[in-house]
Amino acid sequence: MPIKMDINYRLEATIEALHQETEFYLKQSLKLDVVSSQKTLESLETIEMRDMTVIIVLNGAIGFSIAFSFGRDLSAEILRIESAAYGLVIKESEYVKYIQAAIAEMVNVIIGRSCTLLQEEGRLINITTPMVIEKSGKLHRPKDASFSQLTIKTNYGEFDVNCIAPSIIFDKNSANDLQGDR
Amino acid sequence: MAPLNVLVIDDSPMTIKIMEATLDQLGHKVVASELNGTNALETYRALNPDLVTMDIVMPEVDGIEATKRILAEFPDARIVIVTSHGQEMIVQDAMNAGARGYVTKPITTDALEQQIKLAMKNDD
Repeated sequence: MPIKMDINYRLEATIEALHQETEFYLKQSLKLDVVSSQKTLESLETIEMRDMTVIIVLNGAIGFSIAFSFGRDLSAEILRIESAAYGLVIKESEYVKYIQAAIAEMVNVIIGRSCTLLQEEGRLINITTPMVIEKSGKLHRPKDASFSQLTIKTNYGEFDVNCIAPSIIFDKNSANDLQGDR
Repeated sequence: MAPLNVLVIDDSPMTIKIMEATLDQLGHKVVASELNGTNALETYRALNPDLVTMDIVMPEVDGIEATKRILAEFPDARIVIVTSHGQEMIVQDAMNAGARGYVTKPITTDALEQQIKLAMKNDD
């Protein structure tokens, strides 16, 4: 298979797996309804990062960066729902820490499960620990990179799942790659 | 089952909170938690818990390496992996390292209880 076609195929398969597992997590763990979802598989020129972005890099059999981007209100809602579901008590002084932790863990679970769907015999997909960036802005597509996006709308707001190839974009000094122009 | 003293190792503070709540519901107690695998052996040595729950992807020392280190010194240690990974190669690595159970996230009380029972079974 030509390399370009192979990357496009893998991007599409990755977005599809992320879509499936995101909907599963929202329904199963958060009891949140998905109002609508929209996929943009052709490469975008820029990605808009919302208030809080969780990034995980996939290496090995697949080489992409995945960036889930949330507004602050939806992030707080995710923590509220998770806390209520498990009966957790979060101190006010620890609220910011746990909002980050809640969305980071949600993304970690979704990506871990997506990799299970995407696994190929004998080829491991390694994933990094989640990195949370609290900075909105635009990420411009470097030459030869590819941006695909899935936007999921819930009854508490929407968020983006961005799939970025190649993964190396976020390998170093990732926070500096965001241009804070909002 | 008698109440167990549990050491939770996971780099997510949210998961640690969830594990504390879920294990409490099952009648067990989290005696300590660690955010990475680096201190896992030292904490195990200090507390001698009945059970360890271990994440896999963590900074510095990952869960499979931490499992090997604990079992090298404490061959009877009971370790259950709690992770978002379900890739067969990772599950196999964890079981080869000596883990006695494997739970995939999101954590449910039933799945955790079942794997804890399995892990606490006597070998004979």
